[in-house]
Amino acid sequence: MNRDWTLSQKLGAGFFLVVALTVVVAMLAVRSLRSTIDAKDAVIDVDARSLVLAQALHAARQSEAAANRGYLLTGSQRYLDQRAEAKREFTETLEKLKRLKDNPTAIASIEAAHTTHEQAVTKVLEQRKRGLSADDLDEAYESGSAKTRKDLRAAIERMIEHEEADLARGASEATASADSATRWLLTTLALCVGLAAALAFGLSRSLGRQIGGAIGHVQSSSAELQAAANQQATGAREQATAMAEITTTIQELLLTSRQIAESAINVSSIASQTLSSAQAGQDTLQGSAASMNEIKAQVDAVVHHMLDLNQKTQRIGSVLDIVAELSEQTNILAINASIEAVGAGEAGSRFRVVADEIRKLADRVSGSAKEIRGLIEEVRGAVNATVMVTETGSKSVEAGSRQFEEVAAAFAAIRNLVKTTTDAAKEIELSTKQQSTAVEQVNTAISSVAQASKESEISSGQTLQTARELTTLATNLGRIVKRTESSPA
Amino acid sequence: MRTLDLETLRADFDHSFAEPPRLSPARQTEFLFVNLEGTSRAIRAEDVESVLRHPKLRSAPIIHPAGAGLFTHRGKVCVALSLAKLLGGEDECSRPVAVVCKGTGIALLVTSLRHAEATLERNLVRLDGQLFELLETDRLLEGFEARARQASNQ
Repeated sequence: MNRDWTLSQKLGAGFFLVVALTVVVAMLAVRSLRSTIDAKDAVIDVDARSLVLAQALHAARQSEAAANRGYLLTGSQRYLDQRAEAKREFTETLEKLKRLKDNPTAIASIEAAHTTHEQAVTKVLEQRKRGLSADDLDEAYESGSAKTRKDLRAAIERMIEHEEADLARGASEATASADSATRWLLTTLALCVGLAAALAFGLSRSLGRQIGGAIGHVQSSSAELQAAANQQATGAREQATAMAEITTTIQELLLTSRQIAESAINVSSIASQTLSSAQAGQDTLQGSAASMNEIKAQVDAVVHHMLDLNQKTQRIGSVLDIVAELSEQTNILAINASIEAVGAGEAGSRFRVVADEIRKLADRVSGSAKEIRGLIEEVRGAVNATVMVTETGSKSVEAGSRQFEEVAAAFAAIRNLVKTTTDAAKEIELSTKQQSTAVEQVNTAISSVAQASKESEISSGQTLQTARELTTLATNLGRIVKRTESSPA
Repeated sequence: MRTLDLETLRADFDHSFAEPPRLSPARQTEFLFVNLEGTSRAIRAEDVESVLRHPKLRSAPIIHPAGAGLFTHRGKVCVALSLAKLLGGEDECSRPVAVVCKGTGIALLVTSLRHAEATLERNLVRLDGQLFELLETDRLLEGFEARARQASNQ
């Protein structure tokens, strides 16, 4: 047998040959059975039917004879009817025998004898109608139809014997055909069994070698599969563990991303509020800048008024100098008047009093002038201090204005930055939402992968179990194949 | 024998610090209290002819180191002397007041002055509880008056 054929081809070829042999045997059996059946049919259809018809013919003749005797004895029409019925059966049976064409010579003989016998019987029956006596009728019947009746019965009996002989011959021929078919079948069956045994032996050896090789491959492959399944199971467990950790991490990441999303929403809200506050602060700063300008103008006016007041105090000081000088001159004048009064003696006493009053007035004026000068100096000092403070305040106001401008610029920058921050916060909010959705999708995918990993772990275990069972099965199959190979040897 | 008790000791203590017994009120005299640089002196008002404020001094060859210049007063030439220098100090007054001594033709330049009635106690003048040195213009200008008059005549 060709070694390149596959196992299925070999099995197919073996089964084809076995089926072909079976078909051949079956065809031979069918042929033998058909010949046997034909023989049996020939016996049954022709010989047996001819024999039956012949016996039926014999029975019809007897019925007709009985009807003839009844009529001859009674003269009753009923016997004539029975006779006509028996005659009709006789004729029909004879016609059936003619159609069988089995024994035409005997049929012709029976037909001739029947015709002759009918003519003889008809004469006797005519005599019975004319009223012939019973004895005469018996004598006429025995004399007229006895011979024809015997001839007819002999013709029918000959035909029956002939048909019985044909039937026996057909039965023996059918038996011989069946025996021949049986021998053919046994011979063919023996040949088929031998051929099938040879085929089974060849197939067994070939398949044993091929299956043994395959079993070896299966054993080595199952060992490798077991090792791979072990590694796969270990990897699947590790993968399942890692996927569980990843799932936990992803869930934490999901929670974190949700918190980040909520925080981003809060940040966005706060940034919007901050933007509004920055806008309000900028508006307030602009109002404050206007107020600062007004304060600066008022401070400048205060400085102007203070300088004017300083000039006026200087002018007051000048006037006071004049007053002081006048007071001093008055004092000197009063002193001179007092001196003159002293020189005048008692006559100048009254003048001395006046001079003394003038001197006191001059002293009071001088004192008041000094006091006024002191006050003026204090006022000037206060004015100077106020001017200096006011100038310092003006400078501070200017510095404040500059700082306000800088603060306004800073607020504008802050507003722009806050607007940028707000936009960024909104983008972050959108991004974190997308990220959260993506993380949820990743979580779902990771959960599916984790489930797949668990299923893979279970599948790996099943694969390992299958590999072990396959190894056991291959070992058992190998034992069976070796036993099978060793059995024919 | 006297008994020493606390009340007695306190009375003796207060009595030891009590004001002295008042004398008869002293006679009030009119003085001019001239102010120099840091000090004040008293001059009898009767020794003064007049007082001039910021006299216009003219330079003149005056030998005395206290001489400040000459000025005209009531048709007469007066010699101005720095009282501070005359008393041995330094005169730094730029706008002095001239006190013309009666009958001398000499004026003493002082920083400022005032007129008041005060009490003369020996050679000191008491004013408002303070004591001032009395300047005796005659004694101060003794001998100088003749030279001044001679210089003014020249």
